[in-house]
Amino acid sequence: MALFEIKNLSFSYPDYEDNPVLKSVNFNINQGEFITLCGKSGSGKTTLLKHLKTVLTPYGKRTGEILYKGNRLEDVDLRTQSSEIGYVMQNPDNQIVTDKVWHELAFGLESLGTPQDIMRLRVAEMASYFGIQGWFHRDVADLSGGQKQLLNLASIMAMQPKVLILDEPTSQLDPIAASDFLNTIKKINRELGTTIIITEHRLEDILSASDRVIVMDKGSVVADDAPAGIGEHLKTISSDMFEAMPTPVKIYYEVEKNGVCPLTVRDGRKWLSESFEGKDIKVSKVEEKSFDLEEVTNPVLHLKELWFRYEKNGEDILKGTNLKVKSNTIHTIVGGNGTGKSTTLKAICNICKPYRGKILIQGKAIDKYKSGELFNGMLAMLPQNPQCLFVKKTVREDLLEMIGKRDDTRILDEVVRDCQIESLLSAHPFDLSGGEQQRVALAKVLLTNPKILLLDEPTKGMDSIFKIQFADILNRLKDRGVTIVMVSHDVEFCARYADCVSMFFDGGIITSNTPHRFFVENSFYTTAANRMSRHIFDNAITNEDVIELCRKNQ
Amino acid sequence: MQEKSVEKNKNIIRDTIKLLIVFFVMPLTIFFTWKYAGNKYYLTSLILIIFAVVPFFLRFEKRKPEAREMVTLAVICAIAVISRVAFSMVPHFKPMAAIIMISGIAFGGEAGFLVGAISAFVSNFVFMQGPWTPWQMFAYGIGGLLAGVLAKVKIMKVDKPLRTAILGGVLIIAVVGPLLDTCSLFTMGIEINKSSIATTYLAGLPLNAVHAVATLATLLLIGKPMTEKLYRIQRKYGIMREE
Amino acid sequence: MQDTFSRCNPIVNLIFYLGAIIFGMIFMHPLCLMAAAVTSITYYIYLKRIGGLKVLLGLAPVFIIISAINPLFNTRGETLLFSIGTRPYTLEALIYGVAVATMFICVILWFFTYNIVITSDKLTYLFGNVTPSLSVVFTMVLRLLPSYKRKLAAISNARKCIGKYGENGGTKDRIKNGTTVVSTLTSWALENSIVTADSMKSRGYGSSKRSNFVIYRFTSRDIWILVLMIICIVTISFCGIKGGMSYTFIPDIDFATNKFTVVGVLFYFIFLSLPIIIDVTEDVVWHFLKSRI
Repeated sequence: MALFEIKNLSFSYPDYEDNPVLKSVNFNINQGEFITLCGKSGSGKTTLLKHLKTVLTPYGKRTGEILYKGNRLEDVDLRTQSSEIGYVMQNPDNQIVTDKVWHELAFGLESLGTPQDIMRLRVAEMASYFGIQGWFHRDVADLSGGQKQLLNLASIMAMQPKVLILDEPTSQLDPIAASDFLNTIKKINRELGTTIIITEHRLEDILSASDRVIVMDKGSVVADDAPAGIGEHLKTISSDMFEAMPTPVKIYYEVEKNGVCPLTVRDGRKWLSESFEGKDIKVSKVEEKSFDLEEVTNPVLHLKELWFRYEKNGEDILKGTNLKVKSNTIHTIVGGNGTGKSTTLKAICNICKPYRGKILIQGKAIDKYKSGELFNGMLAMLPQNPQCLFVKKTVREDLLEMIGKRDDTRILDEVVRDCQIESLLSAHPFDLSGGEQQRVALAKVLLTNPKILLLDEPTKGMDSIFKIQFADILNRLKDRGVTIVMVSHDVEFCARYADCVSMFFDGGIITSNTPHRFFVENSFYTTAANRMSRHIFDNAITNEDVIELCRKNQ
Repeated sequence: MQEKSVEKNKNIIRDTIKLLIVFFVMPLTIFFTWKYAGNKYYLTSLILIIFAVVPFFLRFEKRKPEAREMVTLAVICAIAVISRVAFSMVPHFKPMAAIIMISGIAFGGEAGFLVGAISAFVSNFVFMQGPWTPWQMFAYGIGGLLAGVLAKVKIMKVDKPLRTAILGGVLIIAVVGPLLDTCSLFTMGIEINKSSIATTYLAGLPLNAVHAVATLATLLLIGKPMTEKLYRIQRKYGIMREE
Repeated sequence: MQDTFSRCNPIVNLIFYLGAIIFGMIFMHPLCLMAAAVTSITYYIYLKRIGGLKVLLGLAPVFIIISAINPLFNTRGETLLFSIGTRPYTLEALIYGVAVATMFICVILWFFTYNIVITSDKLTYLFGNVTPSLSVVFTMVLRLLPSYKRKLAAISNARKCIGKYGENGGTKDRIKNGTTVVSTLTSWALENSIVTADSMKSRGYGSSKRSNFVIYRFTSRDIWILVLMIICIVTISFCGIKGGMSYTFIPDIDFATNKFTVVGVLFYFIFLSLPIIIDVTEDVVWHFLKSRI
């Protein structure tokens, strides 16, 4: 018997009844299945997931029905739903209720009124299974994002759910924590037989483990198939969602097909080897855009041996950091967590003051700038969390705050057009989606008319379609003479759009190079396209590179 | 039927206990502390305060508040406590009372009292718990409660920011401040007479005035936007409505 | 690292502090004050080591001021020391002032160690069953504070980086900036709180009567200590009611000295010494264990 049966489900929010979020959705979910639900933001994924648990179901007009184990979901009592249907949300921070790890682990069990001895056992079991013993007594505030999300998961698993629903659980995590988390999910499905329904941007890590992939677009299910066949589906209906497929799938469908569609890098390598078996590789290199960093004579931003630590007796975070940024480029800084990348940005913004070393902005030392001069037409930073910038009731008022009393709306119109937020102006900033908030925040920052724009992890939580739009905006800014310095974990994004990539490690920049030379040198810290093709091609780092070389050699 | 009568009996027992507490236990404890205690003023006042605060807490428990209401309450308390940090550049600027009053205005006196009492308690967790903790809980609670009451009779109003801010300042200088001064008078255990009372309140006046000005300024600057934000959440999710 | 007394069951900790603070405010018999002073200072120094001495020195002026101020308000007493204007300053009043000041300092010192011993999770444990909803609110506030602190910094940094705030503004600018930051924090916090509420409901909050996960065990040692404490409390109260600890300072100084005084003060001293006795016993045991290895 199916665990969930979704029959002809439609839903619309009040006041938007002619624009339904879900349009007659139909599918079944069987016990023990691993289902990946994908679709671009606004396609109704989250709304659909929220319908699978009564307490989370949004208020609105609804037709059709959802059966849980053959009964209408509304008739299943709250207690059963709470323990059997687990739900992990996007933001790791906001889901946590209590201040101690052990208390959070027990929270669900406490709510169900579980007796003490059973609670002890379950908590102990979960702490051991998820490797939480080491930080069992800690304050929640001291945990990393990955640990927080793992705690949320463990707290739900303690109630022994039959089905686990996850709504973009890794969008706020760094890549390493994200793939750890997804591995745990796969392990739960494999070892405990828990049914999994997950929405996720990082399809690379998860597609191969899925039994079924369901694709949604504008509130309807447009594809429902095994992972190997889903690319074909999307290609034929030329859906935007094709862009979100893992690298091997995208490359497979762009070049002349032979063999089975590869889902992982490993299969991709095998598939490429087989395709080129016995053939001569005539062209093994793509053309590179290049400039020599040694020759950057007039850097717009120049860091000279910065040393910084937060406390007098603390450890140095920046240990003689050097960096030269050429004007009119997109310069990205990559590197692991806690290496000091964000601190470097803070130093450039004069929030952290290095105790040794110099920061030159357009050849002038940063402390020579008068207060107010630096952040007015010279330097500006888009914070990691765009919500930090929203002060007013509407987007328009928020933007007007930047212009002040000057009624120069021309610049406002221009920025609004650049960031494509014309339709959002009268909305409340907090009613917008994550991607929209990002664009509004960017608009607000751009109103200071900066020559250097600093970005801190701008692609975090963005879906692949929005990333392309965002890159367009950045390129347009670059054309207009803005230099962009960005800290990122997003290797694929850097490879595709950066002019220069620097690797940050242990308090300093280890190496800077053009993306092609940079990623080709690395064997682990590089793009999926490069990992997949490096045994055949010399310098292919993006999907386009691999596709181009495949075509040239056929 | 039987269940109902059991429930009824339970209620009768509960009411009797309440009456016993009010008419018997309370006077008795006051009598004993007065007779035997060295620092009788403090202990007596402490007992009175506990009897004043506990009913608010019990009412909250009895209502079995919904998750959204509890989270909102916690959020406001945490903001009230942490708001001090945002003004660390301005010496002696304490915005906590203003935020407590705003929550009283937006959500009613009872919620105001709870926010005041909890914020005071938690902020002592950050600084230090001491004999002053119950007094502070009571004083800030009363501040929130009065703001709520004044809003209910339409004397304090969101669309009259200046009047509301001035009244907030007056509440500090006339009620909250003196209550806190009374606490220091009692805890130090000095003899209570006209001159010691007068000295304590006069000595407290300058600090209370600064506190009042800070409250006034905060209410004036964010009273309106904060209340609007609280109303927005209240409208959007229907929380903390008074019957 | 917690001391041994702190690692006892929170009920043991709570009863000790209730006893120490309430008795501390009741008994002004000089022997009682001495017992309280010795034990509260010893325990505080035991917990804070040399750093505690500085704090103790800092309390000395408070002690002197409270002692000296009392005669100003209390003019009764038989032995005149000197007069200020027409107001007499008497020896009895001064001695009473010293007693009051000792009492105050002892209570403050008990609160100093209380802040170290009774941590927030002990409080949630103690009140979790009595006031379940409030204790959930309490732990939520504690959980939100550090994250709001970071958020406040993030907001003001973000505003600084778009040129909306310089550090050099006057008081008026600073207050304005502070209110904007708090206001932004409020919007952010309220919007995010909805997710928290959803997460609570999704984990069954309100679907049944809550139980409390207890991380503390009740060991046989806890029971012994508890029994001992209750014996002390009963004996002390009995001796107190029998007049063993009665005193008058004004108009002339007189203290009870009878068998109830001896027994009462002895038990009071034993009661207040419990944390130190427990800690030192453990230290000695460890010392021997170590030397045997």
